[in-house]
Amino acid sequence: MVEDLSEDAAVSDAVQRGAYVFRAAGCHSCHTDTKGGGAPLAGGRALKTPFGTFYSPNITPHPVYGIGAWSDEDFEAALRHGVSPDGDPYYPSFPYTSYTGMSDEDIADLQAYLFAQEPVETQNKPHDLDFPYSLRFTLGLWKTMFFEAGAYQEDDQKDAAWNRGAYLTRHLGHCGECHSPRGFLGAVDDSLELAGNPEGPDGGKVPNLTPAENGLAGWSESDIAGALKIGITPEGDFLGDSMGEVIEHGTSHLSDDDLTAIAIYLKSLPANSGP
Amino acid sequence: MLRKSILAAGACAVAAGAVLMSNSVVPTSHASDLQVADAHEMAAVKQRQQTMKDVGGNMKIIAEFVKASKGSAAEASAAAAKIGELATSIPEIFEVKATLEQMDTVGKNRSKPEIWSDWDGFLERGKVLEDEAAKMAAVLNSGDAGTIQAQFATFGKEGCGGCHTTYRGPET
Ligand code: HEC
Ligand code: HEC
Ligand code: HEC
Repeated sequence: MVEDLSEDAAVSDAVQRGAYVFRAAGCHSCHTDTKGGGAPLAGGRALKTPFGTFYSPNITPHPVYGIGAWSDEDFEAALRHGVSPDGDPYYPSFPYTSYTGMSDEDIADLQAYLFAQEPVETQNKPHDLDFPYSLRFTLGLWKTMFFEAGAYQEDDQKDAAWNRGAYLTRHLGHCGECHSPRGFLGAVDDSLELAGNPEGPDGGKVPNLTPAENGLAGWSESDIAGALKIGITPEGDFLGDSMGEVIEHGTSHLSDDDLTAIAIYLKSLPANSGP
Repeated sequence: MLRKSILAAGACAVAAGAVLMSNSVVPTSHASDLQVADAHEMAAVKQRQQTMKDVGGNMKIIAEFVKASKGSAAEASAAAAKIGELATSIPEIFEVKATLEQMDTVGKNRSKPEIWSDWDGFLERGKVLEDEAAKMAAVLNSGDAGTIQAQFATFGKEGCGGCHTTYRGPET
C-alpha cells in the first residue's frame, strides 16, 4: 500500500517535470494542427517545404494511432538517435538533431508527461514529398555524414547558469533550427551558430542572436529575458510570426532563472554578423 | 552498374538531407503571384506602418515605466490611452489590401495575406488591443506594482503578440 502510494507520487513528479521539459522543447506547435482544429498532439499539422509537405505524426499515447505502445527504449531512440521503432531514420524536419543532447532524465520525464495525456484516435497522414526526398532510406547516408548523437556534456570552465543556457538554447529549445544559417549540404556551420538565417522557414529573415551589431549587441540580459517571456523588444515592438508560437507555447512558461540562463549564453557567444 | 546506382542513391541522400535541413519547419508560400502595387497601395502601406510605429513608440514609454520606473504613471497611462485610440483606426488603415507577397514593389511590407482572407479574425485582434489598452491605462492609474506588471504582460501578449503571430510575416 505505502509502496504503491510513493510510486504514484514518483510518477506524478515525473509528469510535472515533463510538462516543463515539453514547454522548453516546444513540442506542441509542430504536433498540433491548430489551424485545422486538431486535438493537442494528435499531429496532422502541415509543414510545407519546397520539396513537399510533411504531416506531423500523432504523439498522443493512443496504442494504435499514437505512440502508446512504445517502450522507453523506443522513445529514447527517437529523440536521441532519430530512429523509429522499426529502425528507420526520421527526417530532420523532426529536430532530433537538437534533441539528441537532452539528458536521460529529461527524456524520461518528457515521456512520462506525454503518456499522461489524452490518447487521440487520429490516423497519421503520409508525408507528401517529391522524389527523391520521399525515399526515407536515403536519409541513412545523410545522417552518417551530419548527425552525431549524444547527450550535452557540461563545459566545466563555465558556470552552472551558462551550461544551463547552452543546454536550453542548443538542445531543448532548438533555437538554431531557425536562427542558424545552413551551409551547402544543409548542415549548420559551427562558426555561424545562431548568427541569423537569411532564408528562414517562412522564406523571410530570422534574426541574428549573437551580440553583433546586426544582432543582440544593444540588448541587455533582461531585454532578452523579457522578449522570451512576453515577446517585447527594446524598441517596444512585439515578436510574432513563428517566434510568437515559440513564446506562446514555450518560453513564456519558463522560469526567470532559465530565461536569464539563455540570455547569459547568448551574450557569451562571439559576435558574428552572419553569412 | 550496381555500384553506380548506390552512388546515385547516395547523392540523392545528401541532396535530400540538405534540402530538408534548410527547411525544417513551417509553411512557406510567398513570392508566388507578384502583383504590382500602385501609388494608392504604397500610401496605404506607409500609413499603416507609421501607425504601428506610433503604437510601438507609446509601448516603449509604458515598458520603460513598468520595467525601469522611468517617467510617471500618468505619462504611461496616457500612452496606453493613445494606443487604444490608434487601435480604433485598424479597420481603416488595413482596408486597402497590400500583402507581403507584393513586397518587391512596395518595399518592406510584413502584412500577411491572412489579414484579408480572415478579415473578421483580424478585426477581432484589433478589438482585443482596444480593450487591453483601456485596462492598461486604468491599471496604471490605480494599480499596485504587481497588478501593473501582470496587466502589462497580458496587454503585450494578447494585445500585440497575438496579432503579430498570426498576421505579421517575417522581415524580408
Ligand atoms: C519543427 C517541428 C517539430 C518539433 C518542434 C517536434 N517535432 Fe516531433 N516530429 C516532427 C515531424 C515532421 C515528424 C515526422 C518525421 C518523419 O516522419 O521522419 C516527427 C516525429 C516525431 C515522433 C515519431 C512518431 C512516430 O510515429 O514515429 C515522435 C515520438 C516525436 N516527433 C516527438 C516529438 C517530441 C517529444 C517533441 C518535443 C521534444 C517533438 N516531437 C518536436 C516535427 C516536429
Ligand atoms: C520556429 C522558428 C524559431 C525558433 C525555433 C526560434 N525562433 Fe526566435 N525568432 C524567429 C523569428 C521568425 C523571429 C522574428 C520574429 C518577428 O520579427 O516578429 C525571431 C526572433 C527572436 C528574437 C528577437 C531578435 C531581434 O533582433 O528582434 C529573439 C531574442 C529570439 N528569437 C530568441 C530565440 C530563442 C532564445 C529561441 C530558442 C529558445 C528561439 N528564438 C527559437 C524564429 C524562431
Ligand atoms: C490587429 C493586428 C495588430 C495588432 C493588435 C498590433 N499590430 Fe503591430 N503590426 C501589425 C501588422 C500587420 C504589422 C506589419 C505592417 C506592414 O509591414 O505592412 C505590424 C507592425 C508593427 C511594427 C513595425 C512597424 C514598422 O514598419 O516599422 C511595430 C513596431 C508594431 N507593429 C508594434 C505593435 C505593438 C507594440 C502592438 C501592441 C500595443 C501592436 N503592434 C499591435 C498588426 C498588429
